[in-house]
Amino acid sequence: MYKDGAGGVLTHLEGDVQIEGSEAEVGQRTRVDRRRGEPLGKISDRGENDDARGYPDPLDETRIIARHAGLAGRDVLEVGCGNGRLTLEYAGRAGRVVAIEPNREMIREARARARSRAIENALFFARPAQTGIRGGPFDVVLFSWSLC
Amino acid sequence: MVDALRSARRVLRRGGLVVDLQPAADYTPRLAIAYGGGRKELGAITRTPDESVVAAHRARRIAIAEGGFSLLVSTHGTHRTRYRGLADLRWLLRQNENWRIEPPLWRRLVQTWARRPEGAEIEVRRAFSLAVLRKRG
Repeated sequence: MYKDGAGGVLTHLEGDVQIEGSEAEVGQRTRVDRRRGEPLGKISDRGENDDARGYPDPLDETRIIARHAGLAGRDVLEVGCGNGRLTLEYAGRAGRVVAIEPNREMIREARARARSRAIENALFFARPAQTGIRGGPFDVVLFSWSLC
Repeated sequence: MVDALRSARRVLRRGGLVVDLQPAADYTPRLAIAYGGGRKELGAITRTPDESVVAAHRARRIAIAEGGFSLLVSTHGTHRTRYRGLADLRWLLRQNENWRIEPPLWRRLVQTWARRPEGAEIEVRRAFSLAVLRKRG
């Protein structure tokens, strides 16, 4: 059993998908997925990871995010984009992407990677979350492994 | 993170979404040797709670409790990373100061690694949590 942390919901590793009322929001419908843990991971190794957290394969990660939130045609703000690892995977299907990251070196790398893939709808800014979440309006704000 | 979520609410359209993918607040990394189509489970890495992760999950709860968001989706899963040798695993442990491989597990790992099939890698499996919050009002 994993303690999910959102709304005090506990999720098990086995069972069926259930739709149930949230503990946090009376009258609001919340989808709590009680299936066996979603396998997010074509395997990556240290060389492909940005740091010790060992990020999942960005393609798989994009797939799971898109399944639950939908990114197609949306205006997205990504907070803590790192080197654009994930950004570059979903930018192609999003409408407009603004990605922020405090580390300037990472931003330079993200821009270079975007150029090399001819991605034109993603803008990268070296900004911390504390001051960088501005602009918009956006349809989706994405925090992926960003503990800001 | 709480402030970041509040800021996110300000820049979202009505009904807009926050997608928050983080390590699970409470999980135990699992260690295995993976090779070809097989894998040998070795045991659990001891992990004390990571304060920044706990804080991120607390921030979700606060953002919902404040009334700015409703919880739309809460789910979880696992992901795996593979490392080519013990040196990489030591590096991983140095990066995660709250992780510890107890001596019996470490011995089992070293022994198994010494007899590994060709192409084997060290695999660490961990858990993530994904929440989708919808802007209210």
